[in-house]
Amino acid sequence: MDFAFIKTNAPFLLDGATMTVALALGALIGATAGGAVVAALTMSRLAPLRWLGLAFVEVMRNTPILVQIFVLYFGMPTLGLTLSAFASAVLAMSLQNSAYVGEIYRAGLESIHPRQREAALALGMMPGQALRTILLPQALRRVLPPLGNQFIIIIKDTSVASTIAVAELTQAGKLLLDRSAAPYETFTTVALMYLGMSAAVAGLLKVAEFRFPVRVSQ
Amino acid sequence: MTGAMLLSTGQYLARGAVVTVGLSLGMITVATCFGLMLAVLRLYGVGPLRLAAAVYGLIARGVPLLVLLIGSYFSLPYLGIDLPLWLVVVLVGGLYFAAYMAEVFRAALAAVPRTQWDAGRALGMRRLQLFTIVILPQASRLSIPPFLNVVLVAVKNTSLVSAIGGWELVAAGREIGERTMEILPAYLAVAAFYFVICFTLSQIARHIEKKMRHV
Repeated sequence: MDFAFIKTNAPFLLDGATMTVALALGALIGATAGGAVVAALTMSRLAPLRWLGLAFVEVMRNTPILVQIFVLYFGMPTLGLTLSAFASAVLAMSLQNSAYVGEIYRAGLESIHPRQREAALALGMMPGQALRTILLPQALRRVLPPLGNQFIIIIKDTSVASTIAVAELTQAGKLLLDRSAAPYETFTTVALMYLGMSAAVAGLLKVAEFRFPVRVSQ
Repeated sequence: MTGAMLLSTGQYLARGAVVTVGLSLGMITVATCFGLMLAVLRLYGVGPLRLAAAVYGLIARGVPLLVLLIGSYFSLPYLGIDLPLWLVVVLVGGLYFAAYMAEVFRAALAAVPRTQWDAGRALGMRRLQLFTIVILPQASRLSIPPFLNVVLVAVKNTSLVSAIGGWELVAAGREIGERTMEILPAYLAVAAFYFVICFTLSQIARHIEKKMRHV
């Protein structure tokens, strides 16, 4: 056991953790926005748009994030589109998670009873107004827990960016490993740092669920 | 690419896919056995064991599999344990997905109505007997769709094996890409192989789920 080595290299690992958070936040922002587009497509009344949305969801969910990152980072330059490692990782994770988040949005909206929409329309609201003021506020509370869980998955998936040498936490751990020959200590520390980040999100999620409870109204 | 090359490329990728499926099967076997044990401990275990199973689940589900794979593959030799790469992957991946399987089995076991336990006890069955021949068969039926979803995630995660120097579908694709300089088609072909495996699994899960809802 040689944790003194970890102590001297703590700033290096913390830089890695910062990059992990940056990747995760980038992917989260991309996926929350992309998810809305995916949900709009899969819930569209136009069949071709719906098929497009469903096909996107199936392709994204049934292929590994590692392969998606490789397609963007190694494959796209052959078409003349060169992305940085960081941009490839964020874009790939945004695309894949748009599919998951889109399905979360859809489930949230579909869980609101259709009578709520009918009641809003009967009161003379425009469809867009009903969506904005009646359906979305209720749906958002319901999507909060699955959205939080997806964010924890995103944080863990950022470790895959180390395969294209993004200087995030796992990559920092690998570099320390080459330098120190203390794999056990290094990776226990890295694992604990990931655990800390996941636990922090899980904790925030509990607070958010308490602050915005789901009110059952049928 | 000529026709003959395309054919041999396909065969090479298929060989990679066989390794991917083999690794997945190994991981899932370990995950199912250990996950069932964790679920039983959490539901029926005594205090400390119940807590240990819960803590195990939280830790395993809070750390990336890649970190666990790299950590154990490079740490084990230092601890004097020398295992082949595939065995490390099967064991570490299995123990990792056991935490997810435990949640699946826990939910399924808890979903079997309490009255089943009462009826079994009224018939004079012992606890273990009742669990194995009355509760478990019903719970395993309920657990099939979420079980397949964990299997799907496990199949996708075998791709991480290529990141610690193992040879499977992604590594096969990388070799083909480097040899032919057709990098994009090579990785798209790899993605297609994964898609066929995973889409089949997800459709089976969806089908069974739909069928069960009508019962």
